[in-house]
Amino acid sequence: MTLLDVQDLQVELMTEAGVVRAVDGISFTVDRSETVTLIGESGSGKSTTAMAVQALLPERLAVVSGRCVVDGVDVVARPREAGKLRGRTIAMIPQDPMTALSPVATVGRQLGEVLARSEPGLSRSARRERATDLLDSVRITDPRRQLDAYPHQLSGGMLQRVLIAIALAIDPHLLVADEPTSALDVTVQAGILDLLLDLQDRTSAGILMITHDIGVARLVSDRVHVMRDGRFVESGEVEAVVGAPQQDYTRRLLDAVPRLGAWTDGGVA
Amino acid sequence: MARYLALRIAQSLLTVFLIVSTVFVLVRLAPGDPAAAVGGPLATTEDLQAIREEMGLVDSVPQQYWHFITGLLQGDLGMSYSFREPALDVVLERLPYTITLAGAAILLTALVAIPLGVFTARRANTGWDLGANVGTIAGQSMPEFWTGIMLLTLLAVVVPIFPASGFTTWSGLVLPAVTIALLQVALISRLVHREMAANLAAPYVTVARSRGSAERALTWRYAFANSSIPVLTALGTRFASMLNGVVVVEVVFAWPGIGSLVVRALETRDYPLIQATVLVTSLLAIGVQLLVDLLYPLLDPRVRVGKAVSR
Repeated sequence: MTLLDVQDLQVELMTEAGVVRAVDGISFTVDRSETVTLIGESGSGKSTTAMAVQALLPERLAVVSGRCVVDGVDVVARPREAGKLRGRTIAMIPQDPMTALSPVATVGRQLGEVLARSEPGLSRSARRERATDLLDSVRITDPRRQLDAYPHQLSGGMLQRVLIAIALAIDPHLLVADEPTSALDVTVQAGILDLLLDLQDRTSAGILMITHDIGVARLVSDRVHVMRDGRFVESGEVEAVVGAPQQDYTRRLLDAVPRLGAWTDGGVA
Repeated sequence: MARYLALRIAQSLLTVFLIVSTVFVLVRLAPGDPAAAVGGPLATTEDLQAIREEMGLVDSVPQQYWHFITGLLQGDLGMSYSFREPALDVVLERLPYTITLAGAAILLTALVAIPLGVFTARRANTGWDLGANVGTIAGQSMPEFWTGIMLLTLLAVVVPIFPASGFTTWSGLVLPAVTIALLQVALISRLVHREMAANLAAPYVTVARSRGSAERALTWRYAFANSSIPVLTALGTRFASMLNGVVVVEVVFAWPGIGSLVVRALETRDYPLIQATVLVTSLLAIGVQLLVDLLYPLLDPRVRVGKAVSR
């Protein structure tokens, strides 16, 4: 079943330098339990695509056209209904977990706020139980205690787990992960990706992954689209694209990754 | 916390002591003779000398200072020359008027400036924002003595709705408070706007929106909660400086507060009265500042001390 169906999506952004066509007619789909990755360098339009899919681009600064159907609702044609999808069927894992939670409210309060919307019947104490379970499910140790922590008291990796827990609280069909590991230490990155994949197995959510990191793309994706200047320059199964790139740009993108000896010799993935 | 508080209070007392000492010296360096002010134009040299002796002004400045400090420690700030009453009593009698005016003005400012700043930040770059911008720049540009006189002319003389001067009925509070608030609203609402605009654009607001938070919650629970510290600081600082006497407005509206008292004390070179005014107002200003500082931890967990949760 197609969860996300994007057809000929175009986004024009009003910037101080004039109108910029950030996304220029791209089409792709994401099915349940599938991970589709948009890969490209900064300014290629991949994050703008992620925002457009959630109808999160500011109305006055962005002109979106084309079709973008999420769970049967075209969010381009009906941005108001898109608002209802957010927090119900779509959830976002943000780029920088350190700035993604309000600094003045506890983790438990921000998680509880989502639970209060997604499961309005829960009592206060039941909500707290549920929040504890969610933190536990993203492998946070001592979850009961961490509920009372403020964001600044947790590390980046921990915060990203909290944000994943918040995304899971609404049991989304589609997860939009916008560079979910780029702000984290390398040692923490693998754990977060692993957690995402594990949760995908359990919930059969579709994931739209945005990254500039070939390693991440290779690890998590079913299909990848290589993006440059708002267009797809190459699309296909992950091994086909990474293993035998057809386009010069993809080759250069791959070559830009520093490799360890073992990588070039035998390959890791 | 107790340690922090003790340290802050000690610092505050030192600051007040330094302010009072500086003022003690400065008023004596300024030209003008208090004896001449008391004695009037017809006083003879002998009269003036007698007055100076009565005031204790024939002693050397260090002697006078010693006398002042020992008196201060006993709560005695000397007799006001012009009121012929203990200077402290004169100040304390006027103080409630200034506190009332400053309180009304700051309350009015907060009630108008915060919603206005939030509203215009939500509608950045629209006609509403532009209109508010023009309004606040105008508000900032109008000096208080001019606004005061205009309001007086319009609403007390041409259309006599409010009393023109003094504080005999509560309606007398309206014009002076509005005069002060006009300028303060202009300043504070721009600050609120700036803070809100920055916080509404912060990643956590977008992320909260992505998980379906209502716009009202994003505005108040997210963006405003994070803007509250600078706004509170600005309101606190403004309030503290108003307690030092809203001189111009008090004179325009003949308001019986500290501001008009200061003017009179300076005119008559009433040293004890000047010193008592400075002591009381600086204590108040520093007290308000301390209170604001103590409120920070309630608003922002990042400045709370000694309550760490393990990583």
